[in-house]
This record gives sequence, C-alpha cells and structure tokens, in this order.
Amino acid sequence: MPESEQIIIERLLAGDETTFESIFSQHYALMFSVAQSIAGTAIADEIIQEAWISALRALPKFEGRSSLKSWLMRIVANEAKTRRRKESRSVSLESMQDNWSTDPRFDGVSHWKDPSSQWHGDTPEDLLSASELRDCIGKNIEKLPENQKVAMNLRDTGGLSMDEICNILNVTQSNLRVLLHRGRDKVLQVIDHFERTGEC
Amino acid sequence: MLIPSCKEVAEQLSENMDKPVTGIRGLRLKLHLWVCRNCRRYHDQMELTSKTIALMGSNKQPSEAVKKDMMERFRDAKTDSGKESAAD
Repeated sequence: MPESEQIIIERLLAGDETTFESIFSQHYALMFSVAQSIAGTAIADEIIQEAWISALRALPKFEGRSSLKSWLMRIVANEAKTRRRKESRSVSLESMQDNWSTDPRFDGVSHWKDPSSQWHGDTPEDLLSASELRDCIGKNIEKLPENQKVAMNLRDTGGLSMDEICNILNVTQSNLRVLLHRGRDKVLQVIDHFERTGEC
Repeated sequence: MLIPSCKEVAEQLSENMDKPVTGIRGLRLKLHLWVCRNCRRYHDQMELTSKTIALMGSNKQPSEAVKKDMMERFRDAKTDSGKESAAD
C-alpha cells in the first residue's frame, strides 16, 4: 500500500475530520456518478453515505490489495446494486437494442457510409461551452445501459485501471472493452448529431 | 484481410485508448489510419469524447447539506467505534 494511503487510513481510523472531509470531497464526483448510474439520481447521495459508513467499518481490515479509490468504488457499486434490488427499480434502457451489428453509418463491407462531421471545437471545454450540448450529452448518458455508464465513469472520469474496473463490475477485459467502446461511441454520435444539426 | 475495415478500426480505436493495440493488429490499425481520413477523424473525436465525458463527470461537488450530514455520520461512527472499543 502506498505510504500516502497508509497515512490517510491511519488518520481516518483516528477519527480525523479534516482528512475525512477532504477524502469525501475528493471522491464524491466519481462515487456520485457510479451510484447514479446504477440506482438513479434521487438516492445517489444516500447510497454514498451508506457506502462510506460501510467503508469506515471495514477500514481496519483494508489490506491495500487494491487502491483505496478502487476499493471505495467497489463498495459504492455494491451498495447501489443492493439499493436498486430493494427498491425494485428497473434500469432505464437496460434492454436497449444495441444496433452495432447493423450500424447504418457503415456500408455492406463495413466501411464508412456516413462518417462523422467536422466538429467546431477541439477541446472538451470548447464543446461544453455550448450549454445545450452539455445538457444533451448528460441526458443521453443517462439513457445508456447501466453497465456502459458505470464503465465509462470509472474509466474516463475516474481513471481507474482496466483490471480494477473488471473487478468492480465482475466482467472480463474483453467485455469491458465492448462496454467502453459502445458507451463512448454513443456519446460521440450524440455530439456529432448536435454538431450537424444544432439540435439534441 | 490485410487491412481491417473501418468498423473494426472504430472498435479498435477505443481499445487502443485503454491499452495500446500492438503486434500485427497494431500495425494494421496504423496502416488503416494512414490511408483513411474518416477513421483518423473518428480517432480524434473518440479521444475528445472520452475527455469530454471525464470533464462532465469531474465537476460535481457535494451540497453543503450533504457534506454536513456526512460529517455528522462520520462523528457518530467515530463515537460508536469508541464505545465498542471501551466494551472490549
């Protein structure tokens, strides 16, 4: 376990509120997006709180086999799955048809028939400066199947390694690659559609 | 086929961002990108999309109410564990 994590854990175990506040804020965005992806926005904050209570209870036994961040994300994902089962919440578009095999952007020999357009911005900040596009991306990410959303959040937002995400989601590397590709490709298509038409 | 199709390349480009595609597959990928302008654009846009997703997700901060509630629960957890230790 890295020394910096060891110090954080010791401080948390000693009840150091400043350390806890800092760690809580540091991991909040990613924990929120994982909880939200699995169980919905309405109960995401409750899930994060429950996950932290579970984590604090289990902390004395944390052996550092994974990073603290990865361990926390696994706890929040499990807590979110439990809550979702309890509330019998059906996941939106979980059964969404995946049309990758019949993607109309490609012709019969799988070459581009309808390639993406030239975009106006070449940085994320440029793209997100249009608030309509930001809202549109957010709305469409919400509609993605849960496992694609969580995979993208953990990888792109959280920067977790492929191995860590496989452990959290209980999927193989090759499944994870497919989840990431399909999720990102969907967001890319949303941006491209907005760039072409100015509409969501 | 020596050079993969655009559709295969589109899949490999996402994979390549997470773990570089190497060996003969990597070579074929590079070769395709060299000759295909549409896939080069898709490649750049895939990277930009991934960074945009990252930026969108990284800004969220807890509300003051959530933070306050969490701090209270942290204090409670601390008190409970103190009691448990005393009981031992």
